[in-house]
Amino acid sequence: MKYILLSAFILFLHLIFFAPFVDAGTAAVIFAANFLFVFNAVKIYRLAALNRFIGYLFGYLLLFIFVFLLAKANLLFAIFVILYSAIFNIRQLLPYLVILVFSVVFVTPYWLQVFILAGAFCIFSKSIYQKTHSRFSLVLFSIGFISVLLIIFPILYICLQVSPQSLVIAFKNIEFQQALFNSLVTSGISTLIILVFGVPFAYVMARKDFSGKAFLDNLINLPILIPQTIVGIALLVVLGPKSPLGEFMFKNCRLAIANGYLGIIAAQVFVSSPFLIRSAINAFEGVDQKLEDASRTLGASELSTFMRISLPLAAGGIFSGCILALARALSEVGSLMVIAYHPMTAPVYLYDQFIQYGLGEIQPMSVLLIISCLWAFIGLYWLRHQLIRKVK
Amino acid sequence: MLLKINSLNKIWSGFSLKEISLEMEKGDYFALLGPCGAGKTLLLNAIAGLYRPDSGNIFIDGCNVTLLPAEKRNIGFLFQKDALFPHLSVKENIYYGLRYRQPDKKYLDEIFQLLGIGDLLKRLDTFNLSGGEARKVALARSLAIKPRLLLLDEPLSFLDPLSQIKVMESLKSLNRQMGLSIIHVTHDVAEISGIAKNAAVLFSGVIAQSGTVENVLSQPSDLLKERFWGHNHA
Repeated sequence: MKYILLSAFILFLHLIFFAPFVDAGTAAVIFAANFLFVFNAVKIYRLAALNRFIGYLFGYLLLFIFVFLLAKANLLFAIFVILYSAIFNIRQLLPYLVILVFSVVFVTPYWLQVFILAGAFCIFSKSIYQKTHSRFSLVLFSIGFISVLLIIFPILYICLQVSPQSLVIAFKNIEFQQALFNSLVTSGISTLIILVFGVPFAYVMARKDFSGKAFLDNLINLPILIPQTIVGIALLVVLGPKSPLGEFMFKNCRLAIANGYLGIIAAQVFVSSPFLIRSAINAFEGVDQKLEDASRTLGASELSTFMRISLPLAAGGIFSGCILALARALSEVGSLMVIAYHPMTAPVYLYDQFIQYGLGEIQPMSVLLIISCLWAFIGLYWLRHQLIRKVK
Repeated sequence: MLLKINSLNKIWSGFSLKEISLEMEKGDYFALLGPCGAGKTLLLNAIAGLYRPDSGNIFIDGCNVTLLPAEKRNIGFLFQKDALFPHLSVKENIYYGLRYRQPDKKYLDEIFQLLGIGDLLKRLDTFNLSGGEARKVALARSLAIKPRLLLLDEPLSFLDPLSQIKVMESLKSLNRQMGLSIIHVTHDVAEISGIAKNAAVLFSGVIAQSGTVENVLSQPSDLLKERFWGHNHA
């Protein structure tokens, strides 16, 4: 009997406030939402304190003003009211509802991205405050989060734009598969080359003192400094078909360096070497000299000490360097377009498709490349974690 | 004569050793005293072969080893902070040097028993060792290679008093029972009283005085009176 009276009351209010403004179907949905709201309100009035009840009603008022009156999103209003009634008693979730309403009403085109990022921000800052109780860190984090936004937002946006079906279609593209394969193989070989030649060099740079060391130390960074196109041009001048070396290779080995796998690898080695060498130097510097001395006094030669002490202890840092170098080699485009447009690596292929067919065509492929790279690196970091645990 | 150093000079980033000459008999327990920054560790490193001296000669058992690399000198070295290899287990640490020479099972057992570390050998890493345990493991590691001379760089530093006594007892029996020659570097005279036979005092890179421990402690040279012990002490 009570509920019937209640429903009649809601229906009465409804007829006055909502019915004149919306069509019948929407009105029915809003009625259902309101019923849930009132039903919940009665429960809160009976069980909880009065100010909580008033807060509950006030939240409804805000929803009504912002979503129904200002944004004129009638159906969304119904959905939000249902959500609001459902989670009002779970306090931790309320801020996320506020963020959701805010992002849907005010930044409609980007609502999903804004909701995800703001939600993540909430989770992080809550954890920071709970663990450190320092408002200063919270303020610093809030300022610093902007830099994270600048990185994540474009990636999140493009990833949420494509449908899973278009991803599958993109992956079935044979040319794309070939390009991806080229990318992985060449960057893998490049990283191996830098590893073999860079690690011994890094050890000497980290451990020994010699004249000209500061000069060499700065020279390592040169590839980061030089614009990519210039790297490509320089390599083309040295290795191109008209250069003495290129002519020699073509005559004797029937091998073209430019526009071939060798050219790709040369460019990738050039641009990604600083990352591995720098990491390896830091890793070797982190190994206590005393440990190497101890090994020497125990009868181990310099080579033996390097293999048994320095290398295992620096392995984690070197592996991180490998991951960085691999990432850099994978993402190289500028110099490859100059020295080896064909065979195409994945980024060059994407650029090529973009020039030919425009944005719509390459979006799914871009997302696919982002996803596969992301998983590759998550896998590599996991591997590194395992390795470190074994060593340390 | 086990060790003989002839007017050794070495300059190394701020520290310097000037005209160091030392002699040490086989089986001796030799104390190298001096304040922090006197160049004691640098001298030990030179004896161990970790640094090449700028000039001067080092003789061990009558052979000139000045140009011999550290791994060929067969000198044990206990580092100040143990320098245990963090990526190896306790057993792998101790057996590290035995890859380069024939292991002597009986000798090793003797060492383990003397140091009382038999039950530590099963530990999989060196992080959970207490200060005293870690020091003993490091000592066992340097002893495992059957060194003809053992160098100790502040062997009691960072240890609690009880561990200090235990380590000192081990060192004493190593010297007295097994006849091991030891050079003990310290800035604390109390550590070596009653154990060391001969001593030298190193001061700002110069040997200020040498002789038997009693001599060095009771009749300090003029240089020491002036600078090391202070006027009141004299």
